[in-house]
Amino acid sequence: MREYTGIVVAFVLAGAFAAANIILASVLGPKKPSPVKAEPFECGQVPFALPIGRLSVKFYLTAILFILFDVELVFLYPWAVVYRTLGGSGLVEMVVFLAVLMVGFFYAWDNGALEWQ
Amino acid sequence: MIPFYVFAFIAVVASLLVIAQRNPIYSVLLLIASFGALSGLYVLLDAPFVAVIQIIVYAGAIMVLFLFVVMLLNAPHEETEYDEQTHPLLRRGPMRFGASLALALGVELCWALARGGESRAFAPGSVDAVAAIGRSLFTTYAFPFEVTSILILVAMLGAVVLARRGPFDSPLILSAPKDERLAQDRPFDSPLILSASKDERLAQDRPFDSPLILSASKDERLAQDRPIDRDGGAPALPGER
Repeated sequence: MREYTGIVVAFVLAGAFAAANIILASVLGPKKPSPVKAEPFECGQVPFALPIGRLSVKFYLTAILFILFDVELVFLYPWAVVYRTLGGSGLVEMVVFLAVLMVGFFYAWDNGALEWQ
Repeated sequence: MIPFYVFAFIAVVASLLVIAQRNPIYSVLLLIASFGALSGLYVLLDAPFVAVIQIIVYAGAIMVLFLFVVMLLNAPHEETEYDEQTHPLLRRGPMRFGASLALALGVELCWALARGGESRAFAPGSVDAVAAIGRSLFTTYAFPFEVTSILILVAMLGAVVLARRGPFDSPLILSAPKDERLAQDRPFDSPLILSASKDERLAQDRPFDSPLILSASKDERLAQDRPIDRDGGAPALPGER
């Protein structure tokens, strides 16, 4: 279990950073109460459904591309662990693998899939 | 033993909170917490590769997809009146089905726990499991590994093509500059003239209700263009001017 100490430290630091930001925002943020703000807000009817509306298909594209590159990352992880023992052949394999994926990346890029219009 | 109980507690509580939330977005975020705790359990079982995959793929990617589906389906908060009256899962049939599934899960859990005691831990020192996976993946199974990249590539192309603006059958002009491609937006039923030159294809923009005459010659098809308000970009409707 010794080798997981670094991961635990990273998780603790990440959690502490997020918590610190939230706490600092609530402590340092400006608070300007006014009588108008303190007035009770009268609501209308119970909502029939949330007015979220439709979402752009760009979210789908972003999510799918993220998942695909995430899957690519899954292969990079064991490769990085055994990289030294694999030698040159491992490097060539991964370069070929990434080259094929870069074709898709540049296709998505060229089609404006990475741009948020 | 203490880490196990910590992770198990987090996993069980988070999972219970997943189904207790009324806002589906909160459910998804709590499911991430549950997956994180499961990943800790995998580490305790000496399965670091599964743990990392759990974090990378499930807590990362799959949850993004879940979140996206929740947003896309416009899932309402469960407190709306509409939901309480007409939600399909609140009908008798689905409720019986869910109850029987829960019963089956309970029986399975009892059976598994009753069988317990025979702890089958992985072989000690299997922290090298990642290295073993890597070695076999990049030597014995190098070819399937490379083929996987093509699979991912196809998925990428499919996603981009499905989400592209304009109709499904609009021609792909990879060599054209981006402005021209974006200008290609055309109604869904416009005819595909793959053999036409690029300028002619761009000139084909026509209103939605224009008839499709695939058998007509190219000149006739091009002559069919209805008046299009080029400045406004929208076809002029009769009586609008």
